[in-house]
Order: sequence, then structure tokens, then C-alpha cells
Amino acid sequence: MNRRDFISAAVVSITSLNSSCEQIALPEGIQRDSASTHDKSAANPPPSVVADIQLDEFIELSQYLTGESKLDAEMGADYLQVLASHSEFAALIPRLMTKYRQIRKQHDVEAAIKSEIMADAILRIPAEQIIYLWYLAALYVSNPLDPTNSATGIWQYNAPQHYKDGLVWSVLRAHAPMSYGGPFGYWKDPPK
Amino acid sequence: MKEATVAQRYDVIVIGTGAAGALVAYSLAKKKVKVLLLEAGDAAPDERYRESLVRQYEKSSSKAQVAPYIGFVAPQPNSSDSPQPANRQAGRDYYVEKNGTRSKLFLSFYQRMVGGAMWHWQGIVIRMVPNDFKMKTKYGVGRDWPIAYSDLEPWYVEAEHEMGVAGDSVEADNVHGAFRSKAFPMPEIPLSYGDRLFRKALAKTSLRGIPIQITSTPQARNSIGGYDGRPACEGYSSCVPLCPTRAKYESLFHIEKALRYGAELRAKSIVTRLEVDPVSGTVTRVVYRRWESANEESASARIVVLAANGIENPKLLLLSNQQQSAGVANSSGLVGRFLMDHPLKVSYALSREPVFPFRGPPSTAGIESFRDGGFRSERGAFRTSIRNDGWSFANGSPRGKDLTAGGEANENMMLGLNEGTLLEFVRTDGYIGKQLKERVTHDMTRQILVYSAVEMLPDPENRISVDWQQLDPFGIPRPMIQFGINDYARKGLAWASELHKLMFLSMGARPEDIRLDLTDDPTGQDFGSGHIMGTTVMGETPADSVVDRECRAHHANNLFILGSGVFPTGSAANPTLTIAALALRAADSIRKQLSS
Repeated sequence: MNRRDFISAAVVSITSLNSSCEQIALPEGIQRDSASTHDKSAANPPPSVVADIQLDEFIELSQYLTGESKLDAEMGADYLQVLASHSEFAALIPRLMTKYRQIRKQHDVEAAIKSEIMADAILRIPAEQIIYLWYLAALYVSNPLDPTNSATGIWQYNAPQHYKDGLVWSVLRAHAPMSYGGPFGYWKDPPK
Repeated sequence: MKEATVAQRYDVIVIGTGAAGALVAYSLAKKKVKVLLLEAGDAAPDERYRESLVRQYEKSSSKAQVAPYIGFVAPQPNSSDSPQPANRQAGRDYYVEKNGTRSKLFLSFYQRMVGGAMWHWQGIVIRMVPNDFKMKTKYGVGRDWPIAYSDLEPWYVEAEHEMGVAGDSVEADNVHGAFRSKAFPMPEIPLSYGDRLFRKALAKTSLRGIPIQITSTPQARNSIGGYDGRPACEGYSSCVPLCPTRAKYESLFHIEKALRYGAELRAKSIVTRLEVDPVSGTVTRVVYRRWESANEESASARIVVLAANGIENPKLLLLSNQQQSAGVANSSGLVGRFLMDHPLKVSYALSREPVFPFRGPPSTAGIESFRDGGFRSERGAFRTSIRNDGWSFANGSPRGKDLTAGGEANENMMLGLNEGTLLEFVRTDGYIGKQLKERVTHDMTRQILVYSAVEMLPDPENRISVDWQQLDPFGIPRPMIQFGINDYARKGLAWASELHKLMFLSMGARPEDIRLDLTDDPTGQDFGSGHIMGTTVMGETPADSVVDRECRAHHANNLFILGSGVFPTGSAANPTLTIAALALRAADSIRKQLSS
């Protein structure tokens, strides 16, 4: 396509987009943030997935998985929603919770989780994501350009309102980048 | 007959609103010069503590340099936050470049928007040293600048004042002979806790006879609340890509001032060519188009200033071949040649004692000891930074690297992928619960990382030209890059590696907890620095340079070219302060030329 045809085509696509976009339409190739286009969330999760799962059970399992006893219930509800509406993980959550119900009365729950959930090729998948959600407020999902390669993935922030509250930052006694760190010069001393 | 486009008279047109463009526009507008600023990109929304930019970053998958600015940038390298196939990574969604190893790719990028790359820059402001300006005379390599450090020194002072630089004036005085006639306007940003441990560990240590000194890094970030009406730094630790509080200096602030002094800004206006009188070489018209319309518009002025960076400036000159077939201001044939970066050698380790990283600005201390010396007749000088953010720079710690979005070039094997990150602890090592929490606490608080930015020699075969067949989304030919780091830089990278090892061992790192090399090419380039130098070189002789000592194009006497593209040598200093000093000095020359 020569230069002139390309410009004409770009102009046509601008004018046809104009009517449907709130923002100024741009030629092809100028992208808005399209991380959200890879978000496989359904607008409404299947009601049965979330309704059957008790939030307090989910929080309890999360406590064992993260090693953190103080977990916020509202955040937990948001994270449960994220998982239940994600096509990669939604179907696995009920299975994970069923298994957890079986082992939660055992003497050493963390050991049982390791041997019966983390060692299980299927159940470890959602369990791992629960850890990432609490620690980082993100899921680690397959790279749409290379979905079968487990060495590459992308981080997905489906509950970005919790980005600053990732556990990793409080465990490190630091703060999420882009959030307030402390008064001027706080970095010159170790954290209290 | 009515003209389809509107041409207006201005005194000066400035193309680009980054480090150079903002300062020259402000400096001229303040003296009542009528200035038109043309910027290819859009203006980012700055309201309410930059809330929408912060939100965009929080949502972003890659959290890369461009993450807050998606949608506001004109076509540029790494313009997307989405996963890219390998042949569009490392800026190759825009740069036309053959696939190659990391050391044969140009790994520096920028932002085309109002304020330019100064939105995401780290904020380090280092002066060059006297010998940087006379490499040929002193060391028999590279080129000499047509000016000396002493010519630029008063302008360094002015630039430091305009930007607001915090530094230790005693420590920084006379670094390799770079005398300071004035103190920094603000006292230094405090060293981090980790810096202090390094300093203690390396006291009385030398490498190859050169004593290693850890000094506070001069930076353009407020240590005094209220300097230029902006707050003191509160360590959001996100300087790259965005400071939410404006404590870090940005060119945007000088754009704002320029506008208050009466300059005019047209954003989303992409300059497509300069038209010149073929005989005199004078620039007669600046032709541009807006994002929303393919119609050509144009403007004229007595003087035109190119300040669009070291890739976009030569690209525009070469595209402007309608009256002069080699492009504007290119009788020397050197436009686009001598492309240089500061290739980085990056290494990391676990220190014996916790350093409590991920707090404060990304780097508050460095080593200037190797920025000059007799060794420069054979190997590149370098400047070493101590980072305050764990292994984040290397592998995305604490989360683990997102390998798919912009900036990755995978033709070298990456060693130690995701080492020390949650991805490794959980996915690879199977840690959960209390064990996981303990491991995060124990290992991540000990993550130390240093990198060294190494000097390259100017090589005419390292160049940017234009690919007439490959067009950007606006139908404009994309820049074609041919680049490779040379042996001189490799030898510098090798020395840097020795220094890194010494630093880690001094911090009590066990050998098995040290990763000196990130790739299978130990003296190769790990990353670029974002420093784009050399492509419109300054010199005395029109036959072998593009601009004169005042940054005026030799072959177009009403055209000034600013930015690090004019640097004859790269030095080991971050270029921004030198860009700023040269821009302020050029404003002076422009003013004189207008009144003569």
C-alpha cells in the first residue's frame, strides 16, 4: 500500500470511529491501554460459582496460603470475585474449596495444603493465584501471544484498587511504587 | 485564491517539548520572543495529583516506562502496554532494526508527548568532566568538542538552578576536574540505609589502583519543600515512570512557564518535513499535520529549533529531502551518524545484612571514580549506580518479570530468570504460608543491585536513517537503526563487572548469591540507558559536523539543533544536565541572532 492509500485508509477509520468513541479517535496503531482487552472477565460471573463459596472459608484458606493471619474481608470478597469471573480459573475454584473443606480440620493444615493442593497439578493453579492476589493484587495469566509457554506470562490487575495494599509491601516494610512512602528522607534509616 | 493552510509568522518555532525544547522556549518567551512550540504527542492530564495517570499505571500489566501515558504518545518505540511478539519488542514496533543479540540492538526509548521523556526520567543530573570534551587530544580516541568544560560551566549553574538540583556541593566539586563556581540550589537527597552500608563496606577499597568512593547522586528532585513551588520528595519510589507529586523535575514545568510568558503550544502536531531554500539552506516552512486530520498545515519563523531528541531530529532532517536530496543540514553526510547510548552492565546479589530496599528514590548514591583516567585511551569510562529497589530493575522483583511487553530483546539467553521473585518462590520452589512469608522477609530485604553505564566511542556506522517503506500509523517513514556496541565499551563493561563483584563481596554476599551476568554475553549490553547521543554532531568544520559550537546547523543558518544528538562524545555522564545547559546557552545565541 503506498503512503497516500495508507493515509486515506487511516482517515476513513477515524471518521467511522468518531461516532462511537467518546475520546478522539486515533489512526490504527495508536493504542489506548489495552491490558483490559486481555481481561477475560465476564460482565457478570455465573451466580452459582460465587454463591456456593463461603467467603470466610476463602479467607481461611488464604490465611494458610499467604502465612498472614490478618486478611481484609472486603478485599477477600473482591479477590474471590476476580477469580470466579476469570475464564482460566473460575471452574477450578469450587474444586479447590471442596478439597479445602476436606482438609481444614486436620492437625497440620499447612502441611496438608502442601501435599494435597500444591502437589496437585490442577488444584495448585488457583491456589497459586490466590497467593499472587493477596501479595500483589494481581493474577499471573498465560501470555495470549504464547499461551502454552509456562515461562512467559503477564500480570493482570483486575482489582487495581488494591494494588497499593499488596501484602508483599507490608511484609517488606516498604510500600507499593507510586504510593506514598513516608516523610522526606525516611529511606535513610531502616524501617521501624 | 484562498490558501488551504494557514502560515503564520513567529520569531521562533521549537519542535519538541522535552529537556531542550522546554528550556529554550521558556528562555526565549521570557524575553518576549514570540515562540511557537510544536509537539507530536498529546498533553497528559495533570489534574488532581495526576490521578488518572496513577490509575492507568496501577491497572497496567507491564508497569513499563510508557504505562501511564498510553494514548497520549505519538508513534514511538514501545508504545503499547499489551504483549508484543518478539519482533516488535525492544522498540521494534517503531524502530526498523534487524533481529540481533542485545548488543546489536538500540535499547533506549523515549516518550513523544508534551514534556517528553522527562516525565519518566530518573532525575540524575551529572555534569560532564573536562576530559570528556577533549577525548581526541587527551586520549587519542573519539572526537574533540569545539567547546570546553569551562565554556559550559556557567550554563551548568543556570541549568541546575532552573531544574532545581539537590546535591552535595562539596563532594561534587572538582570531580575529575569539573570545578563548580556555585553550590547546588538545594542540599543533597539523603543516602539510603543500603547506601550507607555500601559506603562502610567499601571504605578504603580500590580497584586497579583507583580508590572507590561512594558519593551522593546529584538529582533534580526537591530536598526542600517549596523550591519552585513544588513539594519535597516523599519517596514514592516510582520516579520511573511517574512522580505523582511533581517533586521530581520535569520539562513540563518549563512548558508551563513558557506558556505563561506568551509562548503558544500546538500539541498533537507532528512535523513531517522542513522546507528550505535550496540555495541558502534557510528553513522557510515547518510542515506538520494534526492527529485528527491528514491535511498539511505549516508555520514559518525567523529561526527554527529542532528539539525532538536524538532519533527524531535526524529522522526529520533526512525526511526533508524535497529541496536537498541528502536532507536538510546534511552536506556533511553525518546526519544520523555516530549514534551512541550508555550500555548498562547490571549485576545483583544478596547482601549479608538486610538493606530494606523498595524505599526512596531508585538511586541516591553512585561511584564517579571511573568516569575518567588514563585507561580511556583503551577502554570506556563508566558511572556506577547503587539501586534502592532490590532486583526490580533486572527481573521485576518482587513480582517477577512480565516478559512480553516492550523493552525485551530475547536473542540473548537471560540467566536467572525470575530469581528472588514471588514467581520463583511460589511457582518454582513451591513455598506457601509462613515459609513463604519468611522467605520474602529474609531474601527480599537483602536484595542489592548495581549497574554501570559505560561510554561508547562514536562510530559512523552506528546510525539512524529512514525506512521509506515502513510507515508509522500516521504514514510517516519510521527510523531505521544500525547499531552495535564496540570493543571499547566491552572493555569498560568488563571492568564494571569486576567492580560489581568487589562491591558484592564487600557486602558479605556469598559467591552463590551473586549474579554478575544477566545474559550469556558477559561483556555485552544488558540494557540501554535511555541516552540518545551523537546523531547531529557538533564541530568546528562544516565538512565533518552538523552543528557549530552554538548548536546552529552549519548548512542552514536559521536552524538550531538541540539535545544530546549534538554530543561528539558520550562521556559516562547522564546527558540531561548537559542538554539543559546547551539549550540555555543556545537560547542566548538565538536571542542575539534575532536582534542582529
